[in-house]
Amino acid sequence: MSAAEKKLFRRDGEKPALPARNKLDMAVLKARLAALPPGVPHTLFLGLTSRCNLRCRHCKYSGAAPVKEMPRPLLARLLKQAAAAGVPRVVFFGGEPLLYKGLDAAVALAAGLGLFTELDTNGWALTRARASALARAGLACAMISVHSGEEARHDALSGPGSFARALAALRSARSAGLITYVSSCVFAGGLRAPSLRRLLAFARQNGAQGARLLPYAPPAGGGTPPAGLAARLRRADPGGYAGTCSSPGTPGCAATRGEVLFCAPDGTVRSCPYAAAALGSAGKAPLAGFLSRRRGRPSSLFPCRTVC
Amino acid sequence: MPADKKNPFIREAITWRKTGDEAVILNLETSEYYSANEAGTFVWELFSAGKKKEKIAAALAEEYGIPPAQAEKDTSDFLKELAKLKIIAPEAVK
Repeated sequence: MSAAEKKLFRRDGEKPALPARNKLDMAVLKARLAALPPGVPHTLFLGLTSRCNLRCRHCKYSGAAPVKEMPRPLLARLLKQAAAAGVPRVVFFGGEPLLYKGLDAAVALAAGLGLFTELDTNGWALTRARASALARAGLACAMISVHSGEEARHDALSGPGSFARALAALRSARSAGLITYVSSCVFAGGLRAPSLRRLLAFARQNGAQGARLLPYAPPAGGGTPPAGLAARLRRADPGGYAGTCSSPGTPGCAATRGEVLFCAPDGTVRSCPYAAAALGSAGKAPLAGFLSRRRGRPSSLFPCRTVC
Repeated sequence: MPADKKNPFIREAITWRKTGDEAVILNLETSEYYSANEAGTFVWELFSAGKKKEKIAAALAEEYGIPPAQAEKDTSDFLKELAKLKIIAPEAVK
C-alpha cells in the first residue's frame, strides 16, 4: 500500500460537508423515511428509456433489445401515485435517463410533488449546463456510475473516455449544487478490499456523499451474491460510507423487503431494476396495487439471481 | 432558506421546508432536524410569516375548532419547545 493510499484510507467514514440546500433536502428525506407508512417503498426507480449512449460490457441494455421510452402520461401518473402513496424518493433511471426528452419536466413535476429526486446516470452527458438546468428544475441528487477507481478498468467496461466523463460529471453535479453519489457495479474481481477501498477513495476525493454498490447480476443468473458484497463491504468500509442492497444480519435485500420498486419504460413493474421476474404492468393497474401486494412478503431469495 | 422567513425571532441557522402536511425544520449549524405535525406546521408557518403568538392561537382555534384557551396553551407550548431546541429566540415566547 502506498503512502498516498494510506492517507486516503484514514478518511473512511467521513463525508464532505453539504451546502445548506442539500442539507435541507437530506433532512426532509430523512424525516420522511422515518415516518414511512408500512409497506411503502422508500424508493421508486423509474426506467425512463432503454436507450443508452454507452455500451457497457456488463449491462443488459447493451444488446439489441428494442428501444423503449416511458410514455409521458404514464410517467406523470406514476409520480403522482408515488407521492400520494407516501413514497419519499424517486430515482430517474435508464438506460441513460439524460437521453429522455421529458426529463427536466419530470424532475420539476416530481420535486413539485415533494419527492426527493435522484438521477442515476453514466455522466457522459451531464455537463455543467445540464446539471445546473436539472438542479433548477428541482433535482436533488445525482448518482454517477463509476465501476472502478482505476480509469483503465472503468474504461475497459464502459468504453474509452467514459471514466474522464464520469469524473467531469461528478464535478459538474457538485458545482450545480447537487448531492452526488458514486454508483458502481461490483464484479467478483472487485470484491477484494484494495479494489473497494480504491473506489471509495476515489468517491471521497471527488466530493461524493457516499457510494452505492451493486453486486453484478448477469441476465443468466450467478454473479456476485449480494450478501457476500455486504459482508466484504463491512470489512473494507467500517465507517459505512458505502452501501449496497443487502446488509449482514438482515435477510434478503431491499427488493425482497419491499423497500424499492421499479417501473420499466414499457410499464413493467419489478421489485428492483435488476429483478428477473415481473410483478405486472403499471399501465394496467395503479401503483398502490403493487405496494399492497408486496406487504409482509420478505424472502431470502434475491430477485436479481432468481427467476421466480 | 424559505423566501417567507420573515420572523426575526427565528435563528439565523434555521431553515425549513413544508413537505405534505409537515414542516421539516433544520438547524444548519448542528444538522439536527425536526419534523412538525400538521398542527405544529400550521403554527410554524404563521410564526415564520411574522404573526404574533396571540394571532396564531386565534387562527389555531378557528382552524381546528378548539377552545381559545386550549389553542393559546398549545401555541405557547409549541413555541416554548422551539425555543428550547434553539430554533427561535426565547423572547418570542414572552
